[in-house]
Amino acid sequence: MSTESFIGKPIPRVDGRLKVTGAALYAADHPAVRPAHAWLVKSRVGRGRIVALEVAEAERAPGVLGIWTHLKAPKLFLTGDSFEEGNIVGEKLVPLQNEQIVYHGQTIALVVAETLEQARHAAGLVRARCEERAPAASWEAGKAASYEPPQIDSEPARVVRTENGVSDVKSAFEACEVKLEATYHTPIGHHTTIEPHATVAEWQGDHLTVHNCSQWMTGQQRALAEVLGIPTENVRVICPFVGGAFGSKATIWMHTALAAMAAREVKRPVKISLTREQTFNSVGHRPATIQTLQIGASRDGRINALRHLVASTSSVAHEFIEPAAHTTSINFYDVPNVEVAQRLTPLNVGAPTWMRAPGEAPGMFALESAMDELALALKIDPLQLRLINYAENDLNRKGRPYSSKHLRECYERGAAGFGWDKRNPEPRSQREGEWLIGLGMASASYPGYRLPSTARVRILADGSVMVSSATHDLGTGTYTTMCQVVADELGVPFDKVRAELGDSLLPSAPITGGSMTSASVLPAVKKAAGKLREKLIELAVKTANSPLKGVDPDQVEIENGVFRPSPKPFNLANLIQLAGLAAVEATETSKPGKKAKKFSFYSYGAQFAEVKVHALTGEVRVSRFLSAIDCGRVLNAKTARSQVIGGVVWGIGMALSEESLLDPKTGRFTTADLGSYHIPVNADIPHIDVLFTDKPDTNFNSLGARGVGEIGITGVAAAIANAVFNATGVRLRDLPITPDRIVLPPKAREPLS
Amino acid sequence: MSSPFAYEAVKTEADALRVQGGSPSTMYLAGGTTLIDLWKLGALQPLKVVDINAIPLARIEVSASGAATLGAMARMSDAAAHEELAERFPVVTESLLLAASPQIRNMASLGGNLLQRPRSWTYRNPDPTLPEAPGRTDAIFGLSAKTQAPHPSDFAVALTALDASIRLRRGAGERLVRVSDFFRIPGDDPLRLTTMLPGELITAIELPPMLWARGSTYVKIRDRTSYQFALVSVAAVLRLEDGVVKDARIAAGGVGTKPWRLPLVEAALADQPADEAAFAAAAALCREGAKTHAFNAAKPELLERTIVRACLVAASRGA
Repeated sequence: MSTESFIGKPIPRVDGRLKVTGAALYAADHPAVRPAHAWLVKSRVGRGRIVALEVAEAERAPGVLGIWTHLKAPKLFLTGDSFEEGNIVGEKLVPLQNEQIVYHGQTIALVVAETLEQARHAAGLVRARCEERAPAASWEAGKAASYEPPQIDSEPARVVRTENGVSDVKSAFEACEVKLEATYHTPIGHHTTIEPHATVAEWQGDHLTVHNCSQWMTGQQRALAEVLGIPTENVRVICPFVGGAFGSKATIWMHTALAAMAAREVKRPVKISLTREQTFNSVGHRPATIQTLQIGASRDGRINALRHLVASTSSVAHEFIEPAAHTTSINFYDVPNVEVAQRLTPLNVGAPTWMRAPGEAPGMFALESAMDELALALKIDPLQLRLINYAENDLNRKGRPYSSKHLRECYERGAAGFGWDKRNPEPRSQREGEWLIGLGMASASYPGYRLPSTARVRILADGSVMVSSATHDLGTGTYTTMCQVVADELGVPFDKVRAELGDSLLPSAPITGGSMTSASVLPAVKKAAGKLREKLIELAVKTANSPLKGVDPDQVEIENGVFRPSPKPFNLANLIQLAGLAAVEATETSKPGKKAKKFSFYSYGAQFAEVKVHALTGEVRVSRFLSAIDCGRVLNAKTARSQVIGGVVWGIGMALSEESLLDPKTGRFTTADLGSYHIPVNADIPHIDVLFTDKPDTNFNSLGARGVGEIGITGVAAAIANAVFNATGVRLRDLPITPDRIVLPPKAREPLS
Repeated sequence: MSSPFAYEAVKTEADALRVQGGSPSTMYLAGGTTLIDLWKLGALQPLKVVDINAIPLARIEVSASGAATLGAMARMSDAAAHEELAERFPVVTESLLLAASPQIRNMASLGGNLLQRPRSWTYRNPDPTLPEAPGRTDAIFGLSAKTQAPHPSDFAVALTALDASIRLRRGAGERLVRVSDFFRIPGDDPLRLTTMLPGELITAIELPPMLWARGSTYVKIRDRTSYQFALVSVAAVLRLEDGVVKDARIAAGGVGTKPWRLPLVEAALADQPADEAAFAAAAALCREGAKTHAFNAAKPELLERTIVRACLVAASRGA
């Protein structure tokens, strides 16, 4: 092992300079030779049927190479859509195959021209005449078609767990001394990645290469091959840099398939980049939810019954479940009688998809707001209430122990660091001039996911090392952490190691989603680097004229790229040259072991918010925030902290400003640009303190690390809503908490039953 | 969409007027922050664009009398950075600084600011007959069946409170139009947001000599701290004598289909003490004539509170 350890250190991102100088090439930047440009024509009707589609004028427009519609498009295929098989498409609605329109913004034609401007102009000349029907574009309009999905992951849609002698959770709730019932609403949300989705598609014979926005190399490769009806091995996906993904770039979206189709037709590379508006209607969103919480407790704060009922929006074109209760209330607290249930309300909208902490983000808002309300009713400190009901074991998995749960430490250190003891539980008790001050807290939770992953580590004759895996760096630090692990494990200086990723030809890795990249890929990297170290030592003791020839390999170490002990200076480059080799490499696969079935793996955290609310006009500004996170071992103190900060920023947007609205008459997103969909600006974000427990979860993987991409957002909106209540005495159960809602709170929603 | 157009750059007002020639399909290009945006969306489809950036119309002059002339081509950021203007007309400077984003303010001209379109589907797609869905940003004054979108300009609200005038040139002639007459309630003709005539060019904005405009402010309420149109905004100018309001000008943004002056509130403030209770009593009159629906029901309440807040700030400066 190297004397210097790189794991855990706050090492700046190795790709940082490329990004800030503009040298990093994103999908649309790929310099294809003579690319043609594609533009999507979108439906301006929310539901109906195309009666006539006139393209003659558009076809005559300058530079047009081709226009494809449902009347004239090659056959595309629907894929199997299985996560396990990795062939998921973003939307099960294959475009240009028939005249049916099921959402506003659905692709109805593709225009390809010599230049972007010509394609855009010609697209404006395509005239569609449609027979319109009223779309379902609101809770009310979708209600009649709402249904209970057969399954939510591996659970039924309704999960009921009762202790002996209890017939049902509702009666248990009714019998409690203190009862809290409240109904919450979260709106549709959008990822708003700074890099819009883009594709450059190139064919060489029957082999396709796509430079595509991606967070899942092999998944996109398989699904795209299936949509196009060609063998998987004929498709190569390349994506070395991603300008924000958050779940919206995991699956194949149909513009990618259309670009590939068009490239085959025009026999040239085809480039497509979505407009900002198109990124709102056809590459996924977070569904809206209605959530009713019923929590019953005894006066001492012990919760005896908890019901968490969820309705979430979905798409008529593509079922998607935002599992708000199944990921939270099902096991978060130590409650003997629990019921979670979910229904879906399909709307005439494009497909929803995973968005940062799908399920947990809205679910923890409702659960942790309700806990604050219960604490008030019980006159118990909100943090104390959480400790009273602390779950030591996973009750949803028959009491299986948590592998490494340090939530208690998060609560305690977070409270101390934030100054929670200075909070006055009385609303409106703290004021600074025109501003009311409030403090709130909430819990954070996200599962530890891990999937099989393969990595290759190769050392060249000059001593430089390349680590490779078909994974992604979504701005999260993967390039950097891969190098850190190799430097430590192989025993070479950090600056000798480079990483390559984002190419489906590289050793396969799982989806870069579910916060599982560090947990899945890095153990494979560690294993491969360890294997390479063994190989090199083996080579050193066997190679003729090596100073280590004949030495017991168990006695040899590699430190800083140099063999020790050695009678004379001898480094890795010397060895490879001496052996007459170009390179030495090792490829290893790592996957969850037997312990995966013995333990329950979760990351946890505690979120603390201080807000200022204008006493007259109701603007809410977050003035302090502290996030205490238990995510196992921290691999890079800088990038991990950045991930949590990013999550908190997302949570602030979710709490205070982000809301996608649908026109109920047309099904059009009325907030489909960055001027109308209000992500936070810099001035909205205070200094964010991040604390880590940094306790390795060695049952989970060899590095002891769980992912940290999503835990940061969970609980943030609740902490802020709870702080707003503490500041103002106004309980807002509908997000976002905007000034108009503070001055005139919306009336309570009908509870779900 | 994004139809091709001819482009010509001019250096003088005369050339601009000649080239434009009163044609509805020939459009002036100033900062471009509206024209290019709406052209890309297909909402504006000029056949010809006349670039007027080289015309020397960017001067800002504050005279000894306290009046000010703001050149129509002055960038919002330059006007906002003008120290004397900030001292004499804080309401104007604040309305500029709270608008849009620094990037947009660096490009957008003052004249163009007055001609921006509301942030509504009606104005942002090729077919202006398509109505916007009802929403929380909808106006509560000056509504019609065709549009409920609030006028988007912050600057225009400040000008409305100050009773500023717009200098317009057409051919060899020139006219000065009071800002309250410059903007119109769009009614049945949503695209006609002003009373400008075909072929007219804004050359300047004239602020009247109002020494008491030092006692002014612009308060803008929104979800996030920057880059958002006003949910509600208020420009308040108060003249005080011995703690009593002698003269008040109150205009509001985010509530009207044009910048909305509130004469009832102004009258109720006059000759009353400059304190929160009197401000609140007067502000309550802002609700007169307001029409709301389920999504924007909070606007009158928010407007009333914002008036009180703005008056408190203006009074602290005017005292």
